Amino acid sequence: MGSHIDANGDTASLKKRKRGPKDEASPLIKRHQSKSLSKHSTNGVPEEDRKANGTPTRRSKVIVLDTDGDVELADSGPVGELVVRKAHATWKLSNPMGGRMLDIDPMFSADERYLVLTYNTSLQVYTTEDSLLVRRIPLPVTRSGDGDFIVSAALSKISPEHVWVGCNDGRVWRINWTTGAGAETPYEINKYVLDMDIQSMEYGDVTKDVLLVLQTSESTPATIVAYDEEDLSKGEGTLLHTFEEKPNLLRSAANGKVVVATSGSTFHVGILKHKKKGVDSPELEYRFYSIGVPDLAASLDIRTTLKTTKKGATELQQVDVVIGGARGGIYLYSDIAAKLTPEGHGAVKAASIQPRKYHWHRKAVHSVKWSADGNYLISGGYEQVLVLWQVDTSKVNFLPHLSGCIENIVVSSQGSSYAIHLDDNSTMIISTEEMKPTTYISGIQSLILGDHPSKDAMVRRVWKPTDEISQPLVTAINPANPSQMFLCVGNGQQATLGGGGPSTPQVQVFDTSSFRGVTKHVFARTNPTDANITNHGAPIVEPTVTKLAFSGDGKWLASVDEWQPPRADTEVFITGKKTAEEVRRERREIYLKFWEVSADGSAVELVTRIEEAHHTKQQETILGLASDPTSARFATIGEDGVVRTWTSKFRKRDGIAVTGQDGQQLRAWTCSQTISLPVSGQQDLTIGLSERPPRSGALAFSEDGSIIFAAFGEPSEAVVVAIDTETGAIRDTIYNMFRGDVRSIKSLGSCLIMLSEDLTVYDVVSDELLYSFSLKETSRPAKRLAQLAVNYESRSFAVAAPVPNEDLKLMRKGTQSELLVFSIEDSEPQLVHTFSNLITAVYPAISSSGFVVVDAAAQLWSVAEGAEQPPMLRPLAELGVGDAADTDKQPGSMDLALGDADASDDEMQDGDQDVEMDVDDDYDVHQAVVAPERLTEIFNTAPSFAMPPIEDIFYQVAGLYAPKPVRT
Amino acid sequence: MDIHRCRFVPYPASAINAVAFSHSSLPTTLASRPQLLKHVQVRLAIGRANGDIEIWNPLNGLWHQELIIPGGKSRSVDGLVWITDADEETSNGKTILGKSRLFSIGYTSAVTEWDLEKAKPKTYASGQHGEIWCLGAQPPVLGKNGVVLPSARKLVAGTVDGNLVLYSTEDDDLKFVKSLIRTPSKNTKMICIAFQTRNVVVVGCSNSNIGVYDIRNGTLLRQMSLGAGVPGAPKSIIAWSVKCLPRGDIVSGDSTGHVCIWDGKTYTQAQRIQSHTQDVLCLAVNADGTQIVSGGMDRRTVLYEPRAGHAGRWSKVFHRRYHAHDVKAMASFEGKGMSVVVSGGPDTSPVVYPFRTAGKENHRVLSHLPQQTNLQSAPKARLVISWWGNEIRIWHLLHPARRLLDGDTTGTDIRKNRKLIAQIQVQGESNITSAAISADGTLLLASTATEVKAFQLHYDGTSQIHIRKVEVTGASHGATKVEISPDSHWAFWVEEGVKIMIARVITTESETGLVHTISAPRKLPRIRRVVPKHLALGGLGSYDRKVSQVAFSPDSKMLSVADLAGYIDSWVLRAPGELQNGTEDKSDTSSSDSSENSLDESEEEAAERWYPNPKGKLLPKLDTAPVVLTFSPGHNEEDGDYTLIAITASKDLFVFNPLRGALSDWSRRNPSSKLPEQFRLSRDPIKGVVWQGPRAWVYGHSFLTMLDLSQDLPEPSDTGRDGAKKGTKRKRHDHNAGAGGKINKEHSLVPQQIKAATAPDSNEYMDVDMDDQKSVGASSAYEDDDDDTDGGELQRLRDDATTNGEDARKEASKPKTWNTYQYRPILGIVPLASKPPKEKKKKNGEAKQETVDTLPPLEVALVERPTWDLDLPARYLADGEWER
Repeated sequence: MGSHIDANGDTASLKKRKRGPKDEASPLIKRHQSKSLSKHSTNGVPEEDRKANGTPTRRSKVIVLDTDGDVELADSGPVGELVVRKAHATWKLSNPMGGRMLDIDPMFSADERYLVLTYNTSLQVYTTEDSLLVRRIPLPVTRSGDGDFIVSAALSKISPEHVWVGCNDGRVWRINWTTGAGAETPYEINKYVLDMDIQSMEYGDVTKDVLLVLQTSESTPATIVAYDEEDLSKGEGTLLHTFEEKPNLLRSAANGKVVVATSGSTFHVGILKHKKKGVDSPELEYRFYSIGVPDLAASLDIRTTLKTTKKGATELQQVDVVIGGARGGIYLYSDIAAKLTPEGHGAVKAASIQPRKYHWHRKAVHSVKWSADGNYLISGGYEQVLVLWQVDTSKVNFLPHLSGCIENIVVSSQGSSYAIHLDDNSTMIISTEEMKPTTYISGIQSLILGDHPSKDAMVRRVWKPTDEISQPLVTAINPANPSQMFLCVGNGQQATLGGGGPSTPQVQVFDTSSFRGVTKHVFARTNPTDANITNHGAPIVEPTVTKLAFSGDGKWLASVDEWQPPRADTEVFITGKKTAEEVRRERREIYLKFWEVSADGSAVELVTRIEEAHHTKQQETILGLASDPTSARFATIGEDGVVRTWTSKFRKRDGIAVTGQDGQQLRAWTCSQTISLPVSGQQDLTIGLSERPPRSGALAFSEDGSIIFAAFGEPSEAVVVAIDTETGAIRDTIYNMFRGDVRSIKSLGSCLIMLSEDLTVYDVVSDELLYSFSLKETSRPAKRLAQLAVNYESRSFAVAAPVPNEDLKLMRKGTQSELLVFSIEDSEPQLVHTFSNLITAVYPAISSSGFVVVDAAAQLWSVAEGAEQPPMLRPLAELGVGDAADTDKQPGSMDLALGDADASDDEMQDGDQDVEMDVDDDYDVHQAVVAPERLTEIFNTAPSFAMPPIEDIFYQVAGLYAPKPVRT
Repeated sequence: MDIHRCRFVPYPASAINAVAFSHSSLPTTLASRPQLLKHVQVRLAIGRANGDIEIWNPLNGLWHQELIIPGGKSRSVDGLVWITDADEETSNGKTILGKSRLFSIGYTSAVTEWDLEKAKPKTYASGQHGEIWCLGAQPPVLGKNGVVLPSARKLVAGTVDGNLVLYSTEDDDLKFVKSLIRTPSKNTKMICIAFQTRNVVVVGCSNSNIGVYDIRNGTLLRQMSLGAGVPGAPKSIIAWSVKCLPRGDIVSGDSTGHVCIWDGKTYTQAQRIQSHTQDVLCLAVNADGTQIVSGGMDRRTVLYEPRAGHAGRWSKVFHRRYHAHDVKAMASFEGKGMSVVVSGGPDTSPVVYPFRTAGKENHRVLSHLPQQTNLQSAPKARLVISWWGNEIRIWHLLHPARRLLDGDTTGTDIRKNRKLIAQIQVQGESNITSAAISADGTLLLASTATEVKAFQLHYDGTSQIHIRKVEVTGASHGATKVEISPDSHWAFWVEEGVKIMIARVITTESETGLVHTISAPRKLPRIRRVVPKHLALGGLGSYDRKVSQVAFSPDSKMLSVADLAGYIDSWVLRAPGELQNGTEDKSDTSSSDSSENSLDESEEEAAERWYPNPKGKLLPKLDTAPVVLTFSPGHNEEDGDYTLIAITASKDLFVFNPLRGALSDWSRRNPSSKLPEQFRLSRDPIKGVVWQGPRAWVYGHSFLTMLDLSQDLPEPSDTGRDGAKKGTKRKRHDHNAGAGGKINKEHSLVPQQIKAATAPDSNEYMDVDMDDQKSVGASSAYEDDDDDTDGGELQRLRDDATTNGEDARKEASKPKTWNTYQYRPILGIVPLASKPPKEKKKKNGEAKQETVDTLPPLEVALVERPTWDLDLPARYLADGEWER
């Protein structure tokens, strides 16, 4: 590494030099510094002017840049286009992967071999057999702005390879999910679409798909309109029904003989009138009734039984409607059609309608469905429990402890499996016989900003979930296994947002190469008991994992988690002058934990838990956690102004080393060094705690692990201290590098990259300020989301921050983010890109030159330099096997895998990666994709006479090809 | 009015163990004969753990508690069964309605038949067997069209030692016949019983079995097993309740919380519904077998209905928690426009909820407090007595409320303002039926079912009370009601419910104070009322002639009693010769003369005597049973007549002038429809009246209303609560099934309104008639609205005339009515007297309206018995439950 710090010389010079204030520094720094400041002041005007001129600059720049006076920068082009500032830096942004599964019923293909899921920006096709992504069909959902989202998707009834997708702005796509065709040519209904359902109806001799659309516009009341394909191209359909109030759900059944829509606390049943004899023209004429429901309807399902008349026509025999309420009741209206008017009667009459009430759910019933035989109701909601109601016996069966709130339940057409969509961005298929998952599809489970509030919010609750993202997503990459991304997540979206702040006690291990969640580890106290809600109706708050760091060898993982009791629970402790906030602080629980990570990253084991890593009179927040890139050593900095380093040693009990099950010696982590930072207000620590201003801090190891750079202090007064890791001595102190809170500090070669309200690149060796930028003034929450990532490979770093907007108090839906990639040598960004979603995490792609970005739509973007391929999985279809899979022939998994193996092998060579990593990568690439090396490894271990038994070889080969058991 | 709000007066309400209706449903044949239907006397009997049996009249949803038969020492009522005989046709074409007889069991080996007329047990029967745990009545023989044919009906009792025994009820008697079945194992307890057909009885046992027996020969037809108990619970399941559906299917509820439906032909389990989390204790089914209700230890009341499209399958519709404790017993009644289930349990309040209109109409909690207040006061002595069981408590309220309020007594603690001065335990088996105290607090009268006791109290307000028993002669039958005249000269009691006895109280002064002696009583004749023979013989017989209300005029010169049928009798005290004697007078005089020979008393007796009120016959019969009968203080200025107020269970208020034998002018001007709305529309029964000059403070279970009878009532506003225009016809709110009113739209499970869209392109709707198929069928011929017209146009004309003629100035100045719901639930309100404060008199001059100033001060003791004060037994809490 060219920029190795010469330890002796540098430390010596650092020691020698007493650093004065910045203005004494070299002219370069001075110039930059002054320019940057002046820039900041002068540049604001033209920026404002431009906005005033009406130029559509929705995404204003994050950074006011200065190189040589002409300031303008990065009015970045349209989404997806890359901004390349310099010829040598060809940074590319990949297409996004993943996304958030929407609250739309998953769709089984007719043969139940595929599952089509609707994501926020795409349709994704998975095989039910091995949970593989077959095809990702991106949908240009965001067209005009931020308000567009998909409201409904349903399989066509007449051509099962087509999916109808409805967008709220009136676009309707007819997409062939086996080819992906049709995403570019939507039909347009110039109305807001609230919900949509598909039925096949007979028009004379022809059976057509008919879209039943619940639509509205600003000026007209909500209506149900039926469209066939012809109507869609004209944009005009047959009006079926008009509403007084605003409906929310629409379902239909029995080839459109029954249409049910719910609106508030009524539901409307439409029954198709019989066609009059002798009239050929298809008349979609319904008789609609509005019936009161004791609750607000949150979910709806219809079950119909048909009978065949003597003439061969089918007639409705019985219609059972089930409605899930926003307050937890399920109301079953059986045989509703018969109770409404029989046709031909003059006076409209109805028999008394007595719904049955099933009440178990505490909160809104997110989904309720009939079983195929009509003997069960299946429902789910916030409780994370799948409830199976035996209609006959009122017996209730539960499938508890699912990993998230249940959003959607779909019973397959054969009735043999349930597809359950959970709000932790996963979908599973459960067999109805054994209630065991057969398919599991899990995306990134980090917090997202959804399109509409949860169904639980239909009624007022004792608490309100937060609808913002206030913290960056905590991530870490396993250095031993770079495709494994560790994300701190909660128990599903709603549980995470529950108690005021995010509660993320779990760590999801997400494999970016196979693009699916591998496993989930519990890193802090969770709440695995029956209820996720207290007796008062408030959610139970779980701890938040705030820091995560791998040791350089990937064997150890350090984590910090924090918990403080919710405000409502601490009222009883408030005595005297104490405020609720102080009481909560006193009862805060902060743990530093060290985990041993198994070689494949699938298992982590808690080795040591430190209860008071940093404390004064009370527990102190751990502001930063860094790991030594060269050895198994971690360092933490706390709000008490102390840096501690942590190393492991062999565990001893009564002087004898403790060994584990396999005889290996066990290790324990202890604090090896304690370095108090020279903080101006250090003596304040002994004085009243409440008077102390909030401090911020961060720390980083130098690349060779010889120095810890620790930044700490009160806002704008933070100093950087260089600590010799050998001796623990403070070698140097650098002042005036930060404006506002310290956000991040990173070391890259001889440079320190510091992020506060300024971005400062400082050469420690030459004691020069290389360049510095001011971040534009923005709101406090936005500042908190500014992030910095450094890639040692490409000597570059990336800064991500929300697009500045001082009015934006909460990071809600619609917040945009900007990403800038710098090379360490160059003060001009090499990539500036605005994301239409908030960036929640940015981190370097280990072993490659790029960065990976996670956004608030649960999408993963890869930023790579040059032609380098991001180490991310692409759908099978893109790999060229999708077509094979789509054919009716049953593709043997062997065929599929071998085909893949070729493809991926080519890929890897294209990728021009170094070989060692290649092997590693392959290992983690999707299992069906097996590199030939792996096979040779098995077969060429020894001469044939010394080969292991054939059985062993078989299991080894099978182990390569068979997909790993899916863990949930 | 100054109110002592008293919660210290205890009234230990007792748990409900049994409920039974005399008719579970009325036969459809009656629907065509509304006249006959009208005379069917449907009663609800409620048995309590302290041995009380209460008789309630459903009265179209008014739920009037007519009678309490007090229990006795260590008695309880654990099962109640009515037997209603077949109707009989007489030769002249009249129908004699079947007689209703009430039987009870009480965890002894005896069956008791009750005489409702006399409010005491009629006969006992017992056999050589263990305690009876369940009792069932053999269904009658049904002829064509479900007509009940005259047939002997047996009672079948299941015992704790596994016996099934037969009792015959023939010839108006109760006899042990034989022991039918003896279960070999002694551990088998017979818990519940139901008849599938006339000869097949289904018995739920404690050993996980339900046995089906033929009672003709005692063979076990089939044993239906409930299976093994759930893990962690006792091995055997207890079948707590069985019921049979009309088509023969059997429903059972057991200790695992399951309700099972058994096929009535094959005796196999057809369905098992897990609807309770704890034991299912009781069941009710409706007459046509389309609804089942179950109640259990988890407080739930669950409704089941057949599943549409699944023949023979049932499913739970919903459950509610109406009770604060276990739901222990329930019974259903359909007919007379009602369709209700009544349930009870340890929380002591019966709950009525609609059966067929379940989900549409509200339930209603009836009061756990008795209708007739067991509270009396001696106003002059500031004593309040209350009684229950065999105990009377006497309280002294020391200081007037005014003094406490004004705070002119320093250091008067409210807690110290009361003093329990005596607790009297009445000896003997039976409990107190009624008690009375004289106004000066020196004489206390108490009656049980066997005797009338009198006590002389001597209490000077500070020292120990002295109680001395006073001999009462000629009261060997006991009494159902006692009363002492306001001047303490007469003791009055009602023997066997109908015989009115009055005795002279002679008071002499001695050195120790007043000494009371009670002379031999005389029976007062009641006016003979002609009741058609076919009515007198059928139903409950002359039960409704039971005297329920007694009133003495303030000057003790007039006595008036009313019975449940609504007849009012009155007597006047006259010196001999002062009044032309009635016809029956002679015999009565002679009998009393012969029995009583005391010299000094005969003179007195000769001086004054009770004669029937000559105009008494003119007093009309009230529609429904009176709940209040009282004389207003003061005389009518014009003719010296008394003012007798009668309030009926149906909230009609009548004011009579008994000497004239006519409705008073005020009552003519102010029909019941003019009573204030809160008063009329409240479903609470009225319990009593306290007088403050012309003001009547009428109170019920939860309200207190003032009516000023010296003024005309205000015209009811034309826009009533539901905006409907009111005529003179008494406002009848929407007829419902007999429990609460309609549930609000937002809380109703059943949609209250269904609308049909008129056209696809308009958002106009038209309301859909909800054709209530499940309306109460043929027996819904509830058509006595005609009775409610209190007058037509003439009435309105008269109303108009009076309001126009009345002085408007007067109306504006003085409140005519006033209403509060502040106090609840009210056990009773009794007046107390205190010396009028002096300021009152001073004001006299300033006040211009004499009426205002002549209002005497009123001080009362108001006793509340909130349900949360009830000492309920601990409830079994299941997993995950906690007491909120």
